[in-house]
Amino acid sequence: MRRVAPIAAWLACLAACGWILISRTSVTADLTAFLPRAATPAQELLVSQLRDGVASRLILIAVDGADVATLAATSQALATRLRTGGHFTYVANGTGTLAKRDREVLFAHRYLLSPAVNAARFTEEGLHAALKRTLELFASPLGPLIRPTLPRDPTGELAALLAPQARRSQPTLSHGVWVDTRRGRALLMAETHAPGYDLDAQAAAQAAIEAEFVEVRTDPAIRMVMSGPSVFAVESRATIRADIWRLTLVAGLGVTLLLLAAYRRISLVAFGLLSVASGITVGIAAVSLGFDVVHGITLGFGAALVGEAVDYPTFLVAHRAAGEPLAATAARIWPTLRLAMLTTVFGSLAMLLSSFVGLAQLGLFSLAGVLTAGLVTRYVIPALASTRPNHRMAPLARAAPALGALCGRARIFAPIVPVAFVAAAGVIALERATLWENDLANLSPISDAAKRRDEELRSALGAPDVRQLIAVRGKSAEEVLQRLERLEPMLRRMVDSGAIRAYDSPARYLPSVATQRARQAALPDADELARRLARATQGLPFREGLFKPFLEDVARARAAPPVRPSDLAETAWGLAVRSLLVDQDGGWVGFAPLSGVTDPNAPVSAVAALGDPAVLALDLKAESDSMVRTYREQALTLAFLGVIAIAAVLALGLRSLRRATDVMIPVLAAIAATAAILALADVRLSLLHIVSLLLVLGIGVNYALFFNRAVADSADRLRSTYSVVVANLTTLIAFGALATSGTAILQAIGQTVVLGAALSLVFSAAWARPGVE
Amino acid sequence: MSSLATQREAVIAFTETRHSSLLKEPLVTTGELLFKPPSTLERRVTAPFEERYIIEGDQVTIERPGAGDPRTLSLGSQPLLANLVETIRALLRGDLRALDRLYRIELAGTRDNWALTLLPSDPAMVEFVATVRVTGHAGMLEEMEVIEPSGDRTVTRFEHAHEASR
Repeated sequence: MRRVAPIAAWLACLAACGWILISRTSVTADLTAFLPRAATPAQELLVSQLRDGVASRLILIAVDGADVATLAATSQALATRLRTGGHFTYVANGTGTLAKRDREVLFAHRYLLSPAVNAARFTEEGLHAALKRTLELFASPLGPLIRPTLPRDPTGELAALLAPQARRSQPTLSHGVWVDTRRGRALLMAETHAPGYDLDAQAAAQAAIEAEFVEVRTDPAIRMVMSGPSVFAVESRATIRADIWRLTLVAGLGVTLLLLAAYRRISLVAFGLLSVASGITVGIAAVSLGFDVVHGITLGFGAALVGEAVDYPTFLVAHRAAGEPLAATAARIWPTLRLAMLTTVFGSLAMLLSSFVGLAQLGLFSLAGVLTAGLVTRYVIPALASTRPNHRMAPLARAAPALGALCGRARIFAPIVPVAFVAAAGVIALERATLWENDLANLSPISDAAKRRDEELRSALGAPDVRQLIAVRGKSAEEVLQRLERLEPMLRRMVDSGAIRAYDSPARYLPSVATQRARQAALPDADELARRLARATQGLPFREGLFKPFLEDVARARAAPPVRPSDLAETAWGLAVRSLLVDQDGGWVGFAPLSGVTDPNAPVSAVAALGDPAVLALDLKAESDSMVRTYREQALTLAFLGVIAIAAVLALGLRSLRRATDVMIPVLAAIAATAAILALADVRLSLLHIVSLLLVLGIGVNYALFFNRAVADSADRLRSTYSVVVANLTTLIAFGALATSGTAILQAIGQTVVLGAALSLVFSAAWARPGVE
Repeated sequence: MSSLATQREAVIAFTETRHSSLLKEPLVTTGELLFKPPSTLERRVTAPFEERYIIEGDQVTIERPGAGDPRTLSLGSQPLLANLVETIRALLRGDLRALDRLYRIELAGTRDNWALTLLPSDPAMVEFVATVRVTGHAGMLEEMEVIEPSGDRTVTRFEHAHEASR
């Protein structure tokens, strides 16, 4: 009965967790869900744009490997298929027919959209000047272009509408499609229906592009590249997944072989797996109960943090004296094991308090996982283990006396611990300026080659990355547009003073209803316009009655309903409106991107001078840097709180401040030395390193606890030393495998933990003062 | 036509007449064409209004006195203009191969008195230009006529009076 109860409780708990996992757990790959929740309004905007801005949904495509005519045909065929494929709201490749549709839509609404429409333009003098100008244009080499629309648009309203756009850099047209002549490739741009954070849908859209491309290309030599935030996200997810599977296999195999060599019993090896698996299961279930969604990153990092739990069964099994039942061993080492477990639990508790969802999830995961693994080691494993007395020691255990002797003499190296501590602190102080990584981009696993490819495509397509912008909020789209229109004079002043080269605004593509109404009011009625036109054409050689279509169009525009976003759908202007004017949390936000900013303070001070809380000047790079910094600083503060909590638990558990200090000093020295070595190797520390160092803290404290354990005799001391060495080797194998990964994130975690665990072992051995019972 | 090949700077006066069904009477403009081989071309209109098109490589700068700052366009974004510019440059260089890329060419007449009929092949041009007719005397470009699908035509007569010599 004593054996059945813990197993029954354990199985019931796993069953409950399994049910939670199946019924409730939803895992998201949305990176931005991991980002801060309660930040500044500016950061909130940034995060929502990263999540679901049009930029996050845009896929840039380049096709090369043939002559321009062939590439143009491929581009056409691909664009046609993608437009009907259902994955995309908008596909642009410069195609004549599409550009034609753009022109038709804009032409139909020109009197409401054109900034040149005002009362003065439709006076007799205004009309005469515009007609004279049109006549000159008609006589120029561009004459054939305006001829078809001249009778309908003699004031050149469409040209006035397009003029600001013509100044922007646009891709070259050849054979009717966009080409990058320098690199001999055709360019396309596709906007997905699915939001940028929905990586499964993004992966499907990208797969659709690949499949259609293979279908339409006429020659296998023709190649295609895609770029954009979602392409990067899908690629890196695939790389990380592949890496994790491969490395888990390598690490698992290595650890299993080591444990087999140490124990010579498959059942004992299986216990290690049991405690970790139980820990991870309960960890995920706990996060699912505490939060709406579990982030993929929580799973990855959390599993690493729970990695400490793989050591617990090692401590148990290695401490078993000859002939001792495992249950007796468990009871004997429980005070130390319990303290090992509780230090991590209280350390994690600090993270649980974080206002950042990601950190809080990690804290909860680690807390629940380690607690579970500790309890499984204490009660379930002894209940499952055979009651047969222990057999002879394995070959690796025979090396234990030598190990013990080595560790016994390690004490003479005790001075290296404070020396290392001080030296490391000195290095960290000297390198503090370059110690931390603030650039969000450098944290991403995207290769430099991919970044360059993206920059090239972006500049060729005239879609540069925007760094500075002005954001305007409002209750409705109309309110935002009106506010943006009122900002125009301020923006123009910045251009005139040379502080910025240019700006964009959604109001430029879709004026507010109020502005459109004002333009309608500026148009004269049909009779009046006919009278003014008759006088304005005097002395000009236009044929009699030529402008009848013009009179009809103006009359129609006066009575037309205002242009709405849906009227611009499936045009380049619609895309611009969608990307610059967004619906957010019940309100609306409009963006005015600034380009060629020579004086970064100008927008900030100009906006501050307005004193309007609805208008914000944003520097996206600075905002994302500060977000990374805040995030990291909070993680660091919480880690310090965790250290204090651990110290308090140790002081209470060991009932001695001195012994608690003896446990903490070597581990903190190892962590400082790890950080210093990374800094000397020019590695900039990020959140990843902090989380990795938290794991080092957890396992390092365990090493020190077992080295300092009050032992019954020298054989028991030997077993403690042996258990720590085996535990350390498993950690080195598992994280050593991660350190070989090509993915920067995994590599950083691997290197940090390997370094920290090795130093923790050496320092705790050197600093150990084992008590005697 | 290869005798046209002037690898020298040239200043050529022109008179251009636009015949259009939209107008009561033809529209006449006069000006000069300045050519610096291989690809710099300037079209300067002097009457009845002033206007300059300066083409260097892929860039077109349009200057109009009293109309604000000059406008600069990329020829790549203006396929029709790009084709017309390339046509003039090819004619002034005597580069038949360059013309062949843009048109189906019919050559008639004698070496001293030749006539080219050019039928555009680029869809971007076909929409606006039906035929281009060019005539010349020996090494001299004499007249170019651009006929639009609407029937409108623009006739440009070149006078080589002040050709620059080196």
